[in-house]
Amino acid sequence: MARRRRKQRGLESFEVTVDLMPLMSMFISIIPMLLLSAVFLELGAIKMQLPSGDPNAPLTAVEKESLGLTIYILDDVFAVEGRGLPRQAAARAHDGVEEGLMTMLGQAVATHPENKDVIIGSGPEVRYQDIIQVMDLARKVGLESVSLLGTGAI
Amino acid sequence: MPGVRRNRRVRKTIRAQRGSVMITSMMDILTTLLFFLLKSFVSDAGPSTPPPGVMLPNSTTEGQVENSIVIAVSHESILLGEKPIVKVSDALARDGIYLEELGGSLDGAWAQMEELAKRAGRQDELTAKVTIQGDRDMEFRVLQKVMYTCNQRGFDEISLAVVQGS
Repeated sequence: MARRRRKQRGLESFEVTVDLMPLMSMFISIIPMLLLSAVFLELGAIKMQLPSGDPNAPLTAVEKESLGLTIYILDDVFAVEGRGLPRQAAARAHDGVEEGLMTMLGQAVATHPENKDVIIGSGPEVRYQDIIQVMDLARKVGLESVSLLGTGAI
Repeated sequence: MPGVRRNRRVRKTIRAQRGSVMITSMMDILTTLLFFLLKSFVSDAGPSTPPPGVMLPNSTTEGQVENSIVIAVSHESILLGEKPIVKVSDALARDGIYLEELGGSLDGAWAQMEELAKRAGRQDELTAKVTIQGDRDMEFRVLQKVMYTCNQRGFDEISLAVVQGS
């Protein structure tokens, strides 16, 4: 009996435990490094199609019939025009809430609901963020296909 | 002998009372976190991270970033991938809107992509796409020069990278 007890005691003393501390230390080093280099911004993309042909080529029949709705971004003014539409202008608010432009685009969409195209003509020194904001506004009223117009046209 | 037994008992009691931190549950948390972070790194392997100093504009678009050649425009320079190609000030000082350095670098990048696609047997999947990661304060004339150069080198599909949801 006594020998068996001693044996059992001996077995107890050889209980194996995995030492997790080194692994944990490694994890604690890796995780802050990964967190520091991680990007938490949700990024997206606005797709643009550029013409692959000759820019000086004459307009096609479809292009001639299209509304040709164009938004011009100038220093303090937005101007909207299109074939058969009166040229309108609205002051820029510069605060992200461009009510004047929204109204003008809303009117153009109401009179030509089939049109989904819009051209954005921008001055050479207009900020990129402002152009993106106008693209967002155009998309909001249903103008999903956006093109950019070169500086020379303004 | 009774003294020895007593000593053993005392040592056993001390050993039992010595506190030990249970790190198994902590290990579980850390392992989960590590796998989550590694997974997010793998899924973000595309051209998503803008280089330091480039603050992308905010947009409500829902379009997703695709794998493509990435051109970044910071305050100082125009970069292809992470390599500076031409200074913004130099690009603006020129009269024309075609940027020769960028055009040449785009050709080089395209040749590399073609070579890789050829080796992988995926030539059919190769498309001439470019993503522009422009700083929100960049002037339109810089963007115009970059886009025009891309178009001249045969890159007709251009995406503008933005920060979503604001």
